[in-house]
Amino acid sequence: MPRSLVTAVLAALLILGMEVTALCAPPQTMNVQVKQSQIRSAPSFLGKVLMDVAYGDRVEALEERSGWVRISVPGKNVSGWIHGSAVTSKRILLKVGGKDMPTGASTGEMSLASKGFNSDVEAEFRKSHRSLDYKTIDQMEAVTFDPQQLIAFLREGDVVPGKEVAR
Amino acid sequence: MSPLRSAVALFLSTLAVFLFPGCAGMDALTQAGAGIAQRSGHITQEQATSITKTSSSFAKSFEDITPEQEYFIGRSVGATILGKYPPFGNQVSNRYLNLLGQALAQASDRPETFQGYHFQILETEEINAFAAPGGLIFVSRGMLRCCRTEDAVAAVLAHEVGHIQNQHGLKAIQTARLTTAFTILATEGAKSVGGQELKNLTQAFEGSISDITGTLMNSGYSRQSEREADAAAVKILSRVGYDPNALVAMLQEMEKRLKPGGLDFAKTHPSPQSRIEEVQGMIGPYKAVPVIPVRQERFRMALGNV
Repeated sequence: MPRSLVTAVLAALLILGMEVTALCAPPQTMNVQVKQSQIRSAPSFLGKVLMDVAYGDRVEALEERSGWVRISVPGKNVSGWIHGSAVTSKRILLKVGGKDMPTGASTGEMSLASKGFNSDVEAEFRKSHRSLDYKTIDQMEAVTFDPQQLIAFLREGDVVPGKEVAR
Repeated sequence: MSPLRSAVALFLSTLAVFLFPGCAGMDALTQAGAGIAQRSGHITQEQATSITKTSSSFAKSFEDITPEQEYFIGRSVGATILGKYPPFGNQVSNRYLNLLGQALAQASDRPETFQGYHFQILETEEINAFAAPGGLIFVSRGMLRCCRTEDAVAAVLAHEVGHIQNQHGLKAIQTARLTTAFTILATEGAKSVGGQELKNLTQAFEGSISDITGTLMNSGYSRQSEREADAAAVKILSRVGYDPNALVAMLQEMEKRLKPGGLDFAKTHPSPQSRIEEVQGMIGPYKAVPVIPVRQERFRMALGNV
């Protein structure tokens, strides 16, 4: 077989491989991609918190409903809802070389937590940008209200969904 | 392996992809292809490794930035903004802004970011607002003075949440910087990054921060991005129960206050009038925003001195 033919088939194969990836349905196993989140009893921030989850935790996706994903937690007798923005179908590996490390996985399928632009890079960056105000950033991050407080705030201001439409 | 057998193997694996288009198939397939080519003497081990790597790093873009990395980018973008505009220290005002902003963010299409949404008033007369990737939002005193109601403040904040939801900041990063960063990760992924790699990574980081802050403070987002942020704002306001007409009211007030040729919103945003027209295309003709006494009172208490 001529070399050029093998090369052509190879090229086709590589391109095809990339195309197919785009058509893939999301795998069932998902990972928490935010620092912390909650599994709730209903697909809403008003749902009761059943369990806290943290960055890198693995969950099984069961169904999706308007942006929320119903999940179960392997090894725990818990199933409930988490917002889709808190999870990813990419594998997140917290420990490099740990038992989570799949053999032969490519970098496209997984992302290594704490790699890339991380606290080490920020520290290195700050060495040459001493006038920047990270103190206020840290203070900003400390201001967090839970969903119940936010709902109360809206209620106290008579902010009700649908009301402005009805007037 | 003989060329004929290689071709058969390639054909079979190609067929397998059509018959079983599973997610795991693609990378295995690429690896198999590269492996076959290597064994058949067409390429060396090194080239085979390179193909496997290139094929998986080929599709890298801002979308491959993890929320965790987005968070670190956002912190430094925010710290840079605060380096230029000092924070306005009033705790009551900032607390109010966070309650309102976090309630709005929760109703967005992206309520959860790595470390959540946080809001801060800037001590400047300039009419300006910035959204740093990941959820850090800054609004100037000058901008808040364009707001006559809580609904109008909500409109400003919802527009900024729209920028974060659509990752407009990350889109401003030049592809070359991401290519550098992802290449370092692809080769160093399994090891911890140190020495020269950390320097190179920090350089890519520094460039990314400067791409974003340059866009936020000087060149501005594209018209398309501003339209997307306004569309997101209308959606969020309606979901929560604020009047989207307040976005129009705020833009009208801004139109009056912006100085032509100014270095603030006048420089980085489409004219308020053109945004008003686009927003009215989404919500219909402007109707005055009704003042709800209890809401107006707390708005006045929190931001009256701004």
